[in-house]
Amino acid sequence: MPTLSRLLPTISLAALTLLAGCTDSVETVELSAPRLLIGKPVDNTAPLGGAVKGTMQQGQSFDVNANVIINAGDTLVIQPGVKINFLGNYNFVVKGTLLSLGTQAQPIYFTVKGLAKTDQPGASPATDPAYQGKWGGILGDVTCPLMVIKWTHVEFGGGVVLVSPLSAGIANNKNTNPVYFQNPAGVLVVEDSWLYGSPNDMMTLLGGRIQIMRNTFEKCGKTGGEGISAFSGTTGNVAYNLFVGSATNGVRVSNGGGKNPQANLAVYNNTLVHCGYRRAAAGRGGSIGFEQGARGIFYNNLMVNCKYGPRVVGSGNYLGNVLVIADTANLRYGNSLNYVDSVRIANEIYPTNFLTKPQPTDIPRPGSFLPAGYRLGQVYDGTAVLRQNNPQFVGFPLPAPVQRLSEVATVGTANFRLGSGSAAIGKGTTSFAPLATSPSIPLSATYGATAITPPSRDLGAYPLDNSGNQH
Amino acid sequence: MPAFYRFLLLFALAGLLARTAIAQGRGATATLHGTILDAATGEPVIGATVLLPASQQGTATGLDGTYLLRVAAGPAVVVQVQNLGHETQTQTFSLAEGSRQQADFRLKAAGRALAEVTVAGHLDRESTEAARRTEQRADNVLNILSAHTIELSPDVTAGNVVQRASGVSVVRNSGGDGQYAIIRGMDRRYNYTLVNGVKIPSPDPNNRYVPLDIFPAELLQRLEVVKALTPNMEGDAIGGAMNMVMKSAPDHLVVAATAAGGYSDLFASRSFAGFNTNNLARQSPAERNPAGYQAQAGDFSSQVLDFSAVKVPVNSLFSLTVGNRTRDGRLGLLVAGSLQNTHRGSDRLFYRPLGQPNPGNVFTFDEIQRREYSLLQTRAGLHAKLDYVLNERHKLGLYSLLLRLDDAQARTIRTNDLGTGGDVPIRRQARWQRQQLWAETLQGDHALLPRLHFDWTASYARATFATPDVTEVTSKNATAANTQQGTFVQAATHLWQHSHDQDLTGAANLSFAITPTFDVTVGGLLRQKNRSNYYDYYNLDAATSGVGTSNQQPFTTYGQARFVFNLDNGLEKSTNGNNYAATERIGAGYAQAKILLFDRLQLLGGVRLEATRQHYDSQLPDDQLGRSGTIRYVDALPSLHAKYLLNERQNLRLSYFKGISRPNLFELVPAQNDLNNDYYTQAGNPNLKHTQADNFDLRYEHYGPAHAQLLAGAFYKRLRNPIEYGFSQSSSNLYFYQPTNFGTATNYGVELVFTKYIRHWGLTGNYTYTHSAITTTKRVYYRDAAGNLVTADAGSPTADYPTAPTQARPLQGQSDHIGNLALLYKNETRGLDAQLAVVYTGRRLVAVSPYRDLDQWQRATTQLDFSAEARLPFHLTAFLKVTNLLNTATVVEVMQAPAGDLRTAPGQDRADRILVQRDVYNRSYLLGVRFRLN
Repeated sequence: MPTLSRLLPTISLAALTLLAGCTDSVETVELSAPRLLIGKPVDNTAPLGGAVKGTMQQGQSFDVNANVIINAGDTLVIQPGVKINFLGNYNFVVKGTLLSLGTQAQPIYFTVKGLAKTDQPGASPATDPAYQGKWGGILGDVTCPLMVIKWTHVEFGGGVVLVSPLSAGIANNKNTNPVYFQNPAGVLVVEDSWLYGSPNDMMTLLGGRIQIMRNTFEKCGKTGGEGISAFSGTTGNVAYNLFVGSATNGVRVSNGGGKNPQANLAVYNNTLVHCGYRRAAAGRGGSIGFEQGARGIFYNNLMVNCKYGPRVVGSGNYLGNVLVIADTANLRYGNSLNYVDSVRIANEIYPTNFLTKPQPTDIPRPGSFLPAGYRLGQVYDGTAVLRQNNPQFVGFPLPAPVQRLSEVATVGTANFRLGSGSAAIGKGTTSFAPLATSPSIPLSATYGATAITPPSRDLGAYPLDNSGNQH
Repeated sequence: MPAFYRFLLLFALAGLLARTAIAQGRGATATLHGTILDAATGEPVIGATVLLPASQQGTATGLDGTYLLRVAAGPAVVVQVQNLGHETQTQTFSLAEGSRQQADFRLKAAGRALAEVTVAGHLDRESTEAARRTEQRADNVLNILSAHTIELSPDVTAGNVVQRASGVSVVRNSGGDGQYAIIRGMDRRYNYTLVNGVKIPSPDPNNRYVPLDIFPAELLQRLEVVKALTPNMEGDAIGGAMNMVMKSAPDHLVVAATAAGGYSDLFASRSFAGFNTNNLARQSPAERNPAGYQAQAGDFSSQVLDFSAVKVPVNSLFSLTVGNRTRDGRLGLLVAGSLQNTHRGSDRLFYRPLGQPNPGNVFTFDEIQRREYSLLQTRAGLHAKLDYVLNERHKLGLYSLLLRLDDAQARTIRTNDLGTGGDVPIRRQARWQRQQLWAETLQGDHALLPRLHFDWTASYARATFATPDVTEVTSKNATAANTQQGTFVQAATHLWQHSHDQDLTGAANLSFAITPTFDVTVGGLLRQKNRSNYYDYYNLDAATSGVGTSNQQPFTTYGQARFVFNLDNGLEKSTNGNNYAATERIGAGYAQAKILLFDRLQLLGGVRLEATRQHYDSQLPDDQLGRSGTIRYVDALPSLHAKYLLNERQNLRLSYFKGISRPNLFELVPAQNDLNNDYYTQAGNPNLKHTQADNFDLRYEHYGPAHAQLLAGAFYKRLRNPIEYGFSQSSSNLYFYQPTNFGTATNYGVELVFTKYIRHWGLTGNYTYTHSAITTTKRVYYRDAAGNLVTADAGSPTADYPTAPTQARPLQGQSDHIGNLALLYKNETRGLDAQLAVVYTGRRLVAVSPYRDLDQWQRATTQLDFSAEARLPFHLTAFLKVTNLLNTATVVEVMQAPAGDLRTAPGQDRADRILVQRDVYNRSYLLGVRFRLN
């Protein structure tokens, strides 16, 4: 028999074991505190940088020499005629509210000090400053509840950030976008503004209730990129915009990204001119694209010499492309006018290998040139529609007086209003309403949309009743 | 050295016998059979010579110590049994014609010079016998693979060896070789690797687990898989610890050398793609230029991608081991070197999953890729072990290890030509990586008093990793209608990455034997770990002239392809989230006691305290929380191991231990670290908790005669805060896919190990059943009742999922069934050994999808390998190793029925699941000779 003394160590050992096993260890985590930046009232006595709030007074100029941050809960109001000059690759970081309230008479500028546009047709995009991203962007963070941009010029943005000032979305060392929004619950209003030049997408929207109306987009994307690239969480209207020379599409909608609600845009009465020529990859689109679970409508759009007609992505085997079907059950469209000067693009009014359904309201009428028994995405010969259905622009002769269709990337002296005899007049439909977001976008001169312009009888951004694009 | 000459004599004799045995067989014969045992231990003696001096006819005993000999009948047949280290014994028998006579011998240890007795009586530490003995005597649950087992196995790296151990399966590298061990269904992160009992850092840039394919198998003395931790072991293992015991200095002169050549028949069907690694820029443009340098297109070359075809890629393997000890036995040294040059490869069919599935979580992919990998692996290992006996009470040891694995991978990725038009991307990648491990360990062993023992270890170890100028160029074959057709250059990427992980460790143990059956040990450990990673890349686009799609650059050669910076600014990407620096300090102390009660019950128990302090510095901007962070915790890790000796041959073990698993330092760094992922943002998590687990083991062990062995056991593990990836909220409206703790997971199973030898044949095997379960949050992408497509996850509740969708599943890497079976043939007379080994690895989860029902599973595999060796004259042995006889493919699938076009797509041969990836490696052969003096 063992003595108690022999058993003692065993017992104490077992007791110790049980005792220690019962307690879980807990981490003590000490994280460095974020640098506290209190928003200072903005003034232009010194170059701008850091956290600001308040009002940029009418007509003043501001030089920006560091990231400008509008803290969550703060508001920055920009009054008409203000000029914001970026002295380098800095951003406008909007964690709170931004109200850029220009007027037709006194627009606001976000631009680069001393940089002039060099809009020579045919110039290489490699050297064009429009595509070089001289400053960053107006970057909405996940907390931004409201961003209103009216009668504002946004030029030369989209530069690379070394360290992303946002809590998500844009990665370090990556391109920004001149306008960036990522709050599905927030409101983004861009009205009557001019968006010029970006290395990649002009606007990337990872969620938001949006109202993008009556704007002019030029030189969007260097060798890829769209005017507006919208993803899951984005709902609203894109209408009466003029897109000239986007690298790929004017508007692309995808439900990628895993946010709610489903990407749902009403894209109507836009004019798209010579888009899709700086994207070398085939089949990426050159006007309007709906893909990967996106829903919405597109009506009354006017496409002139775009590399591809509206592109609805369907499932199937298309090499090298992400081919995930759009939410075709919830996609309605029609009344698209395609004017083309080249057979190659005439053959892509209904893009090869995609799912765009020819609609009887489309111009040219599908029955007039598609072969009998046409299957969606089938290769066809579009020679018959060359130079047909001229929109008769007031200040842009067609056939386009250029050597290459890719040369047209800015408005310049052109005028895309419809002349008499235009094939676009009276061909639109008004049988649908603009998309009502949930909750709806407020109508306000200051805190929301000035006007959600309903669809027009005429195609494109410039209906004869002058209710559309005012540029 | 008389022993040496006796050895020579024996070898010559054996050669002679081999011939006479064949010539024998005429006239009136009888049969002699029996078992040769060691008189002292009762263990069978393998390879003892049974000899008829009259006719010089003889044989040698088999694996179970038995022999069978047909001899000429006669009235007085003299039989002599000889074995090194034993006294020769002679018996005389009368054998009638056709009779069967049993003749057993019990050999006594030879007792001449005292020194020689020590030598002979010492178990060869590399032998299987020694391994079994260690297992039997061990205080805790472990399994051992001996050097002899390893030598005879078809494996040349530790990564392949470890899969032969019970309950262990491996994760393979792209050449098909084992790289990481999963022990009892516990993934890499839950295990650690020791070299000679000292933990080593990992060359992996992000993780702390050590790639095992860096270790040449020839350097191993044995590989131990420890499945239950004692208080004197570091506590951060839940699955187990792998201890690679490297060869140590012998008692006498040992010279061993191996040379072998091999071939993989993958390269019979296609050529091996090679490239010159010398021209790769070792430093990125930013590193070799002043700060702020903006790289130019001219700083890069893609010429390396013009791969050369190697027609007959011959593998080669060399090793040399030299060891000796001074005459007085005080200084022993062993130096071993190994150089392996291996051409491996794989052909992969890959349905690249898209980041977001189709509605209803239906699998979808964006490309079907055919990938051809050619890997040239150069594995160099050098180790030296020096021990010095100051006097009987004080010993010192110095151990040095230098391992290097260079891996030159040539990859060609073609997107399958399935569609009706469009661009067919072709990617080529040249990736050269060097992993290196350098470790110096100084150890002392001091018997301070007769019953007071002190030992200490001081160790420096540095693991490094570098991939200079990983070059990738994408070109495309444009076939779409209405566009310019042809092959065009598209883009190039150049990537530099290098990391280091350095450990400084000091440890000491003091043990006191209070009585012969009761001892107490206390000890402690301090470690400072420094880890950092550098990551820099440059994205270039093809240079084009002018604007538009008609100005693409036609592809000629990779050397002539011209690129420009387009969206990339050419600056150093020092702010990329993969750049980080972190430290870890561990301070540990323990007390344990071992007591033998009633001469039958051994109890070992105690508690270990481990204090952890981790610190990181990240690339976050300073206006965000947690740019740098410090994490501290202290664990109390008790354990109790009971071993009940049922009798001399049977043990019953019951053990409990608490183990932890620390997150990889990289996982704590909050920076967003995924590139080119449009679907979710991946980031580290500084609030990640370490995993704590209670582990229970029950094992019955039977050690039969003749190395027969039967181990049967069961285990149960309960893990708190296992680390898995999932979505979690970082702040308001911000969600990351990040390492997260998910409640509690369990893992249990049963294990069976057996070994049985019958003369020349042996059968050894093991089987493990494991079951684990964990529930994690997932995403569901679906169409709701209103017809909208919605995503439900932890960040976004929906009407149908008011709380985050979850899915229960096994732990990643866990297979329900793992089995090993090896059939051995050993004929000492003919000097022939052969082994046919099967490894079965059941279905297991290899990739956890953020989306529900889209996890990727590796199909169950059965791999068959063969190896053989034959003794030749002049201390030579020829060997042959053939791996992957069945050409077993690795198949990864999603458990979902394919729909639509996918049903008829290449490789989709199942109606109930979708093939995601299939790797084919083919067979490889290795033929060589080994020279061994002693």
